[in-house]
Amino acid sequence: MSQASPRNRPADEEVVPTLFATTMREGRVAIARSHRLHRLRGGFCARGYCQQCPVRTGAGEALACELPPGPIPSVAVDPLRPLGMAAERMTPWFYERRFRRPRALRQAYLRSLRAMSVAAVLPEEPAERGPADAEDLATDVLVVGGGPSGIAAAARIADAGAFVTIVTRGTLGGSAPVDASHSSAIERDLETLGLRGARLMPGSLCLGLYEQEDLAAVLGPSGPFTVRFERLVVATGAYDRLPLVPGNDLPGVVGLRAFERLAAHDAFARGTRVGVVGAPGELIRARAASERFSVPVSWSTAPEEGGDALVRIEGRRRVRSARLASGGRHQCDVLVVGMTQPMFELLVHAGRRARVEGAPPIVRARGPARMPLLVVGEAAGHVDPDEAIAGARRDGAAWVDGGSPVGADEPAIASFAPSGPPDPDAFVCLCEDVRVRDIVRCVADGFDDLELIKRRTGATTGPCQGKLCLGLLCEAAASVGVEASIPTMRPPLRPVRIASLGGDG
Amino acid sequence: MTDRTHADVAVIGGGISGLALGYELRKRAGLRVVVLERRYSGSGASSRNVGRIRAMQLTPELTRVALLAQRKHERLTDELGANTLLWRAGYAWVLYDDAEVERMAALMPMFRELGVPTPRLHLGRAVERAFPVLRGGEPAAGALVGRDAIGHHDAVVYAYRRACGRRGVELAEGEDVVDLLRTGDAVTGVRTNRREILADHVVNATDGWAREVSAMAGLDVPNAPVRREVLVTEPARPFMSAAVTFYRPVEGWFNQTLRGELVAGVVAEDEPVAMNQSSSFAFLTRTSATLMRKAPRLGHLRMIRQWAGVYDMTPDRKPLVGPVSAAPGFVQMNGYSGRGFALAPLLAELLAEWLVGGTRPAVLEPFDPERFGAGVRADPESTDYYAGYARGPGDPPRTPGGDDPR
Repeated sequence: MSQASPRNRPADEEVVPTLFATTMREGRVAIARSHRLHRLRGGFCARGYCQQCPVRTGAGEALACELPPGPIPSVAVDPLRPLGMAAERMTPWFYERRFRRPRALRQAYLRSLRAMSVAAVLPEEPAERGPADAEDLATDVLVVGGGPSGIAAAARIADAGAFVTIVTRGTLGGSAPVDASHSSAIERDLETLGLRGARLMPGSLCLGLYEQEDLAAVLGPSGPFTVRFERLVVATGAYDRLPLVPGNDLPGVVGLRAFERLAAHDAFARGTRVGVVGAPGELIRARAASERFSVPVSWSTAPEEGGDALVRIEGRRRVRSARLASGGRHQCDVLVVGMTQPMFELLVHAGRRARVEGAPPIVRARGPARMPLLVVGEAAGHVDPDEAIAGARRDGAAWVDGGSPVGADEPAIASFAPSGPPDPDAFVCLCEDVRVRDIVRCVADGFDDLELIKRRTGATTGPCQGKLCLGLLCEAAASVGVEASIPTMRPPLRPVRIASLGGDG
Repeated sequence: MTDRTHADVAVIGGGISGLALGYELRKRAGLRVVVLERRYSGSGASSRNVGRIRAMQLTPELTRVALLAQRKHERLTDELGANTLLWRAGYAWVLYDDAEVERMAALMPMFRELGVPTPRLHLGRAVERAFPVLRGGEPAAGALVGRDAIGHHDAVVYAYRRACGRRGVELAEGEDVVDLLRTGDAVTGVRTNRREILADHVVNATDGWAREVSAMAGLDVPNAPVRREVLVTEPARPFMSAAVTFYRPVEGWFNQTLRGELVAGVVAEDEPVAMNQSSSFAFLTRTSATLMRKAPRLGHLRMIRQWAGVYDMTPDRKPLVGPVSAAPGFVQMNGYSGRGFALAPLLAELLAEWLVGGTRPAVLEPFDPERFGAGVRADPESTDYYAGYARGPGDPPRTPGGDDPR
């Protein structure tokens, strides 16, 4: 594995826009269809986890938020959508579990279910094997996540004499737009890391931790490799959660972090009406992005601070308006949702227990880990970037012997209060098209354990691996009295191509 | 003071075996049955398998019972009142050398005689035409293709779970059996984390944990749990139907599920005997590399999840089914050696018939739970069921996990 040198972060104006940003600019927010019900979908996260923006390319399928600008096939017409509409009206799991008679048609029925999928077509050509030249590594401290907080903590830990390895999926410095003061801090931290001989590995996705083999698995530019480590720093950031209201799957609903990226990519045409619903901290960030990138926000509300709660998102083929608890209706072309879900999966691999906190529930990983562990930045629950980076710097410096640094308790997350029991039409799981009513039906049928609900409805088992929907599932289940016991978390943290894992050795 | 309750039959293990047996006993004779499940229904191997139901087996004895088991699966949807998603996807042994083809071809008369729906043997280039998913991979010498089925493991478990509920089987999820109640050699009930249950029969339907539970009855059984791992990808449009298994250079398998996902696994040659349900990274790279050799088109798919379960292996790869004379009151229903999902519904029906009627159905004869004397271990090296078939004389020794999947 070659060691990458610290590299300069591209300034914002050099950031290459994505296909997702260009489609947004053209006002084409619907770019995909859901696998089961053939509903129109658009990107939500803009950074590769929600899996709602797959588009067909010459070499199979890829995410619009990870592709450069280019042509995009139209999804406006889908001959199978009427069947999807019929399925929406039938009993839950029409697709899998209910059809019994006539008996003679059962096999034909199963075949037609298969044929109805909108999933990607497997290309005819063999996939090209990825490289397999990476060497397995050992380090004192493994830092997962190379955003501003990860780098800040890593630099302080390296300063204390530890041998640090940073693996990060994208570029060092992270993929979120940062302001000038953070940019220069990142430069200084990278310099420190260079002087201390830290191993910096951009383009290296941590797939997760394997307890029995006692290692972290990473997929880097030269192929898969493993890292043995003594201590772990988790700086994997956070993502946005969907609100559990009807219309939450409409194209045009985007997360706060997606809004920040899209705004930096100049994705909003003049006159785009942007509405924002979010917790107070998230609202501050949305306003900051709005000012910095000159994207006017038409209206915003923070239910937590006495603002108006969101009860329904409206529109036929895309977001057109949002209805609030007071009865008010606000027009918008894009609805930004700011509801932070810190990445918890890696922490669960590390031995912590996942549980839900707050209402609506956010999944947090608490308790002891198998190894000395430090969680920093958004993964630790910070929403304010200044606080996140300052906290990472402080905690990294105090984390000399692997004990818990002073002040390193992770804050609770503010989320906006629900306005009552969830509407049966709200989507819980976008990958598998599971709604609240399916969960309610499932529990009424006697499947009253989260593991059973998950397997019976398919919720959380799609390509997003539960990132978009685990909190929603807990919320929906809790509304019918099912205690949230978080299902098992297993690697990989992100989908990975088999060709990349099975390279030439 | 511990609560004490009574039941006719206490079944340990709420997987497909335990639920099916509870259902059959209740349906047949209205017995009071309690099914004890430490976690949730199907939390062990029942939710960790991929639902293959194959009639083509390598010996007449197993083929006969597997064929009956397949027919039982075909009846399940109507019996239980829920679609178990039994899908006649087909089953293919893909063979990579001529010796292997010869050995498999020799099985055809046996299949014909027993009434296995006409398997076909494809040779050479015909294999790729029949299985476009293999295009670009290592050329196959042949493929033996049967009309076997794939069921949906969760759909079957949940259909039984609901049927048990309707029939009034007591399903105790989250209740852990900590010991057996015994009077001399006889087993008279179970002690759980919540209560004591006195029962006429205590059934060990725990498969991977069968050795532990048998030890509670003072029995030393040869069962050996061995881990098997699975990876699953994001869904794709239908690209294959028949489930593929191969043995060269190591044993592996893959197929596309009804939802469109690819599920696949390649066995580790040095998998140790242990109750181990943890996933490994070595499995991911091993399986991916093998898939790239056999069916490189699959390399386009993105893997999203992995999991592991165990096979409960016996020395002759046949289950243990029936009452144990050395421990009166104790009944074995385990040791499936990787065929639990396929066989459990049939064996539950037959075992219920036996417990209620008192006579052993002839089909269960080969599965006598006491056919191994004390001290016999599942020694995979000397007793590999597949040794004479899939394996060539010069091949490396096989391993505890070295049996075919499902």
